[in-house]
Amino acid sequence: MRIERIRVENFGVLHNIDLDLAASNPNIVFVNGFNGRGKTTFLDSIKWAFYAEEPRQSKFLSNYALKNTPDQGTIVVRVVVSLIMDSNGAIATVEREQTFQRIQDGVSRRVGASVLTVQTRNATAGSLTETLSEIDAEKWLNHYFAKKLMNFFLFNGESMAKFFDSKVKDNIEGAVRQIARVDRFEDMANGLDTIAQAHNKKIARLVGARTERIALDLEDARSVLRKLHDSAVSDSKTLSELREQREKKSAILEGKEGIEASVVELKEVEKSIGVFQENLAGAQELFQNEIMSYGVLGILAPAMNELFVQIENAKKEDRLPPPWDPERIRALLANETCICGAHLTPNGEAASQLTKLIERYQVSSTVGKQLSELGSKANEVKSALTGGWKIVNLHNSSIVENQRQLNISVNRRTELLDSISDIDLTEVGSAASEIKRLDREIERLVGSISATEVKGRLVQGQVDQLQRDFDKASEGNKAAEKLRIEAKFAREVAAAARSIHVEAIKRVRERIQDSFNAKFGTVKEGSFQSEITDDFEIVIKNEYGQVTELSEGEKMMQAYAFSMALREVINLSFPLIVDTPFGRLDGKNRQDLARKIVTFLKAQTAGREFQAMFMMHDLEYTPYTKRYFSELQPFEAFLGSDPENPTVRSRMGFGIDPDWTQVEAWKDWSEGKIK
Amino acid sequence: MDELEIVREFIASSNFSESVKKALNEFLALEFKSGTQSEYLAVIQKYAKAESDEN
Repeated sequence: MRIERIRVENFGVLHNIDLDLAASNPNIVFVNGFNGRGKTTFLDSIKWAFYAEEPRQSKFLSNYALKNTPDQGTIVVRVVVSLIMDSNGAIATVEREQTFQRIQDGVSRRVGASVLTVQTRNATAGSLTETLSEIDAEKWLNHYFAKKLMNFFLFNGESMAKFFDSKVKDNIEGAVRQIARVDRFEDMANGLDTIAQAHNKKIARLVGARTERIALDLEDARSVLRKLHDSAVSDSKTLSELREQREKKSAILEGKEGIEASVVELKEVEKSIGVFQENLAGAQELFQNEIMSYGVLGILAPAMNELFVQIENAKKEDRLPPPWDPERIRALLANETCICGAHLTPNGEAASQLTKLIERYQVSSTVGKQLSELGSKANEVKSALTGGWKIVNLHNSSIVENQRQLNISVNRRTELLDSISDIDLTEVGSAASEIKRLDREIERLVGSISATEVKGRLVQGQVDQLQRDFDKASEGNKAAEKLRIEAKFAREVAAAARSIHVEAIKRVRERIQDSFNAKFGTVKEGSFQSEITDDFEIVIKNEYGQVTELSEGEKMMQAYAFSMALREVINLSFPLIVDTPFGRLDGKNRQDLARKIVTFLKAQTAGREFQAMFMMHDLEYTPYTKRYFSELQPFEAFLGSDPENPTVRSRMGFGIDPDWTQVEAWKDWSEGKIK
Repeated sequence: MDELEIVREFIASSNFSESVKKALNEFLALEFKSGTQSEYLAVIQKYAKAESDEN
């Protein structure tokens, strides 16, 4: 079975989403997106379509649609999933819709119940796919998507490590009873009992009064036995329902624990955001100051270099004047003293030429002196400039780091706020007392079932004895003998029909174990042995027979392998859909799990009809994990921000979200720095 | 593929006698098409003798 197309309308942030896979028909589909873009909502929409499980009101009806609909106008929340059912191309389209009416801004009311339809095309005439869809859409869904098995197909990475803590046994047994058509076998057994009873009456009539009396006693005893059996079946069904209710209530309380942890973490995250914002602002201010100071010097830097060149050249060419004292020469001239042996007449031609020369030389010397001083100043500036740019760079790095930390904290805050806003505190308040009531009721039922079983064994003993008496009394009558053989056989088949689910569960457990070993073996390092207990718990032992602890990543892979084994054994082929497949694993373990998932999926998809869909955020699907995943040639889609309505509407695109390429590693990837 | 194949597999791999297995498979088909009481009886009569002989 494969998903051909999923359309979602007015469901939370998914205003109008169309994931059309018909042309590419991929084995592996990625629907990626930043947190808050609607990945979980996308999974919720599928859950609603198939299992009628509604998300909370705030995540159900699209705020965008509600805002853009006039008062009294109607809005239809609709999810349409087309499935390729088999290799012959039979298509089944499951559609569920719920109508709302807008009362006023932010207020709406539900109009009627949700409507489910299943339509088939290209299905073989008379096949179960076609027949069931014609009879009843709910029956069709119940057959192909047993609700008990929902959590084996719609995974959430964060809860996968705890997968086997949940009621795996109850779910599998319930599903197997459904798949093994226990109700039909029960009807069959009742029909056979009626035949056996009718035969007994005929035998009694043939053989005589004594046999007839035994037959009547036998009929009474069987009637008591049947009532006890019906009572046990009914109590078991109620018990299963009560346990399911209790599980739901427990989940609310677990959610409450989650709230406490989330609130504590939220406070820490808020604090971190404050610190990072402060650090960021400080770093930005320092950066601006430094860039202003050194920026001016930076502008002068090329001129400085030219100045250094000129000074060096002047030194080399001896153009800089020697130390110079013109006052002394002036004094010589005033005293009419000859400094070179010649007599200089004051104001004479030679003396005035010498005076002019002195003046020109003095100008040149002053320029040289200034130039020399400027040279040493320039050296100081150059040194300051080098140090300054280092500081500017440091501040820049500090800005980048603080911005990165801030982004991580802001994303985490969004996640935590989402998780908290999902939980209804009033519901939490009543959950604890409801659990107490359910526990009392469960205890009463367990006792009642146990007492019924004891009574049943006693009555069964009476029935067996009466049957022996009856058979003995009817011996010797040929006509009665034939009927006796038929009645006995009818009872045998009835007993077999009633126990078929016990056989089925036993076989399923054995086969899951074999299949699980083969699948888990593709990703578990080292030799190991696994055993699936009667309670469907998996015990992994090392080569020395010691029970081994699994890493978080291995626990997640164990859940994948178990799910796949179950699907194979009970012949269900619904695609595997996983939200946040890496849960909360850190970077190194993420890459390790990516490698394991790819190895696992490669083995699953090799020559088999299998499809998996993963929904990942930007820290799960990175250019580094993409390297591993590219081997699988995935179909890449993303849920991105709608530029016009970023907070209330997401859009679907294909490939990598352009918004991703603006940040961190994806930016480097888009620039070709990461291959 | 036979839609009831998985149930038939459960029956085939069970510890029931061969006659019971055959009868169960036929009853399963009858259940699916809402067979009549006489059709059920015919299956019983078909396999009861064989079962008796087996024992």
